[in-house]
Amino acid sequence: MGNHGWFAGTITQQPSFAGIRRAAVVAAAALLLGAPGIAVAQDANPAVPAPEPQFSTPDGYTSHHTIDMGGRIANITGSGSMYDTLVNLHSGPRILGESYTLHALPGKKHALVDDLSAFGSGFGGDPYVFAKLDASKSKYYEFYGLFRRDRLYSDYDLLGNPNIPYGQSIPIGPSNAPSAKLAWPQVNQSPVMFNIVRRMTDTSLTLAPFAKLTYRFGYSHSTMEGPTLSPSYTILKYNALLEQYERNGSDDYLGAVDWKPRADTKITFEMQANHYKSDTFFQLNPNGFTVQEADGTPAYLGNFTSFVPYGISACNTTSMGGAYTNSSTYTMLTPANQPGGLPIINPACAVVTSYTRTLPTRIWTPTETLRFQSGAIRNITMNGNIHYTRGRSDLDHYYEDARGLSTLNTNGTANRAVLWTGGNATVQHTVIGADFGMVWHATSAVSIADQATYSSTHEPGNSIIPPQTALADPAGAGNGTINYTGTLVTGTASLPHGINGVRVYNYYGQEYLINNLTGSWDVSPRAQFALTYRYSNRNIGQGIPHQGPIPDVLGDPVNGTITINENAGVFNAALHPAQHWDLNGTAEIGYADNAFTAVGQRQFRTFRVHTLYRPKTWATISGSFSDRERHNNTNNNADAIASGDANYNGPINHVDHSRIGSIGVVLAPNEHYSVDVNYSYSDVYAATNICFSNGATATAPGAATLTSSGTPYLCSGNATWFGRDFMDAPTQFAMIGLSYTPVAKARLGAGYTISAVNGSRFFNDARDVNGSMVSAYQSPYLNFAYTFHPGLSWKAEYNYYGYGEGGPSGAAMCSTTTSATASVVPCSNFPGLTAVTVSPAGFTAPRNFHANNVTISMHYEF
Amino acid sequence: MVAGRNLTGCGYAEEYMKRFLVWAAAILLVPGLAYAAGGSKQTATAKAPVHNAADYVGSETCATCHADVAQKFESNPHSKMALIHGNPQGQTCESCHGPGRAHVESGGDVSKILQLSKAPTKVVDATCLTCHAGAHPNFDRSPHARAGVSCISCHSVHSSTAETKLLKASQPKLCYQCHADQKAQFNMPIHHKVNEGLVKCSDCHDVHGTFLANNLKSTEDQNQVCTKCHTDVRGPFVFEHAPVRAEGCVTCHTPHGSQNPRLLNMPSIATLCNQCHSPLSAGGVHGLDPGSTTVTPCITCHTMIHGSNNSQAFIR
Repeated sequence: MGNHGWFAGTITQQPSFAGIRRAAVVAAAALLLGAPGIAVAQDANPAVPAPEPQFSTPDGYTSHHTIDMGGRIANITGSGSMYDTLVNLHSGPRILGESYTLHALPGKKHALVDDLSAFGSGFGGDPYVFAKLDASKSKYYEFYGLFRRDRLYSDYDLLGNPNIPYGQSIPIGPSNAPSAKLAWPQVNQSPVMFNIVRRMTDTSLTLAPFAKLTYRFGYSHSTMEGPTLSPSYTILKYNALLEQYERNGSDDYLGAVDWKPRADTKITFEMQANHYKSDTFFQLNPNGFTVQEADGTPAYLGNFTSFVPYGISACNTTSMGGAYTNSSTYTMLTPANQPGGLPIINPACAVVTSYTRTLPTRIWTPTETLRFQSGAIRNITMNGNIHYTRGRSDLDHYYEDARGLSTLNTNGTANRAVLWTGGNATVQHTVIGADFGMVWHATSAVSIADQATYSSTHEPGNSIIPPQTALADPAGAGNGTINYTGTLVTGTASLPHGINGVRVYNYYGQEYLINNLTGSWDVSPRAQFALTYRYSNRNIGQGIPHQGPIPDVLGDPVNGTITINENAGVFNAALHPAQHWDLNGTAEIGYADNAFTAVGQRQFRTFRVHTLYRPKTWATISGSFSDRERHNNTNNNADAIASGDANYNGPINHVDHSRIGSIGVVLAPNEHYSVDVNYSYSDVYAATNICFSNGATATAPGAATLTSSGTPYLCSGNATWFGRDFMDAPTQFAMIGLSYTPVAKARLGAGYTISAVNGSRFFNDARDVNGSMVSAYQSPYLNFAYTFHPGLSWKAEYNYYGYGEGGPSGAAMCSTTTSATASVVPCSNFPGLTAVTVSPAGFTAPRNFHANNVTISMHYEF
Repeated sequence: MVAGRNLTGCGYAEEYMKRFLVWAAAILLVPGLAYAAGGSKQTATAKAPVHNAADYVGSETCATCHADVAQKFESNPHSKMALIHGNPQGQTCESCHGPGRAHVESGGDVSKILQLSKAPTKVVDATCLTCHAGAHPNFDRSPHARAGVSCISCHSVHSSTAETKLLKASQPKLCYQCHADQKAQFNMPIHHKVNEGLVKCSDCHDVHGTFLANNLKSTEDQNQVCTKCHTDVRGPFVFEHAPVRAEGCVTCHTPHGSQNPRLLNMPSIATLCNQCHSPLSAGGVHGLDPGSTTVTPCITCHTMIHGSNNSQAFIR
């Protein structure tokens, strides 16, 4: 299988000659476009007034058309993958914007539309393209259409970092005297990278919008398509890096009728149906074929995350014949039989030669909703809805086929191929819910409001993947090779976690009720206060059966139910201290008697303050502060502990907070100058107690405290050692934007934006990439626009994008050996690592890039 | 029907068709009901206070002094129907400001007319909701209303500069004026493409109020705020990753912006997962192994982490 080139074309970001040539052509074209404008400008009367949009009046309408054509020139150095992940703007011609508006003039009769506006942007290769159309005709109809296309690109190599140090290899030829070496490849791409194009279309049509009966129709269509990478649990012998070709689509249909029996009352019936279709499929990553069989079949070694290169343990040594002498003398790979070819793997060594997985899924989700809104009762306004959904997902034909050789043991038995087919799954999704809200204006200054939300969700489902059909070589020395020509033995095998040929039934459900009761008091026109009491009750059930509490030691799936009651109070104040000064704030404090997850909130409080001050009509000063704090200081599974089903292992002591203070100033004293300045400081922190499931030495971070009998207070059972998982992300954001318009024809803009984090994290893995906790992302810009002639302008913009990561974040922890029970020590305390020497920068270079982008365009309007 | 897959005991297609017919009939009945109840000619327009017709002077009179406002008002959706078609449903000055005769006869005494720009926010809101309560029924109870943010804080009824909805400025600039902290979030390295124009604040939030916190749009499945675009993780799945469904996407993701890839709440996947999947928190499945040797990113095996139809452990 060859390289499809899906990735290569997008991640090779070094400027090529072709790219430079294309950029030069774009620049030349833009300049040529500008040349007539320059000529026009030179001939034009200098006394030409400021350009005004030119309107024409075709047959009772006014219309206005604008178009911005030009192109981009992008020069990127550093990590192209990171640039594409964050920016992804490249060279080429573009239609940067186009708009068209049409308005009927007073007195226009019998027209199809009264108003029409269309807008589009990004055509020609930008990652974000959108087009919008609005049309309406007075009381007859309103139409809205929006198309959006975006390229979702992410190759942020963090979730699965290279794991593998540089320089390791597999010997080609005899292991004790290799003639060459096959590099054990680092995984430099993210194993979960994706390069997907999403297209979304939303349309709606409203008929008779102002009539007593209004009909509404809507249709939305969405597709996601493109290649991604996906790791996979065992394919034959080892895990594998797969190419997942994402291909799914969603159609959403809406029909509704609004009935307005009174001016203050509206009743709506709405039916919505969504059909989702997924034809995503998987195959081996085409870049992963690094060896070949003797007959030339490309083969994949797998085990791509292994710290240790592919070795003799992957081979059926009793079938290797003369290629195996002993554990230190063997030949797994022989040189290619032609120049530039792939090394040839011994036929008794485990490989994957092909793999396919398909799981076409179809989901129907119809929802009916009945809504009402009324102000018919004196001093009371109310509204609510009731909705019912009963959808269903069907996966009718699961198919998985792996070919190659999987050495299971050394007695001569090996699997030649495995095949799952005929699997299926189905799940229902039923939701019934209702919302109700009302406000009673008891007096002109006092009002009482209540808002209640109820929802009940049930998802019963079942699934089966039959036992795999395994074609195995019969036992016997020499039989366990991929070349065995005798009769294969048909057998079965299974994967863990229930993929074993047994139909598995499962369930998920949730029921909740949330009620907010609020009293509001308008003390004066300058001060309003409100106090809310919120109560909520949630019941979450999963697995079959799920009547009891979720137990301590979990199987697959998790069975049980959890109940959470929450009480909270919210205080609001809205102040108007002066005519041009607004100040409002919220304080919310609450408590829950249980939590579903360790990071779920048991105690929480939120404070928010916003202020806006306009001392002059041209000056705005805004500020905001928010502080959200959440704690979970006990075991989350309180029910199970109370019933004795779960052991109390100690406090989770989860804390997280997000504190953000911001200030912004906008000044526009006259038509010539404006300035926009913002600064924010955010302090985001999260920490949770965790346990290591395997034993280690007391040098593990946060060694356990032992009781007098030697038993750890925390982390009972096999989980002996205790640590504190944390992230500290203090981030500063600053932005300044200046605009200068010396004359009506010319406009100059400049600005600078930076977001920089200087934090740390729990660093439990020496191989973990030094992440983004020390990084800066900045983007200064400069733009210029000049109008040569009324309706004709030339624009240029320069953008710089820079992203850089700093040194190690937090205390890097290193293992002393590659053993699963290795000691874990801070790297700085252990200079003589026996496993591997880790550079302070980690195994991967910091993800840095710089880009200089120029955008040139002509703006034409008529 | 595949054995063992019938969840309800009846054919799903038949049931769905039955539901469709019932609701279709209901839709068709509504016009009949409306017609039956249609003795009144009243429509969903202003619930105008009762005034003497002689108190009104007409917008032409207003324009004699307020020509600048009147000129911009010509293209305003409030008035354009009246201007184009002579439709009485078009709103004019006195629809909102009340009768103007006293104001005119007093030579422009501002105390004789309702000055909405200087009125308390509740007066402004009540005036607008007279007509727009049907579209924004939750506004009275919304966080914005309680914060004293009125309709004209965001909308310019007389002269809007934004292309839609009479907004004073386009999104997100308008929202950033107060929510400066969100401006910082959307300028972080990883962010939803709000500044780029692909996504708008109003795609996820209904600023006029909803039944949910933070003005999040209400849907039958709360995660649909996210899965409308991220359709691949919508489900339902036979094996739900229950916190995703019960607690929502924000259990693991920070939606506005983050320095972490994929808007994760923690900088690496292992540290994120082990917040919950540690033996310390009863309910955990896997704990964190020690050291460098075995801390393979969880999703190397558990690739279908949002939910799976085939594997209880999300490996297929």
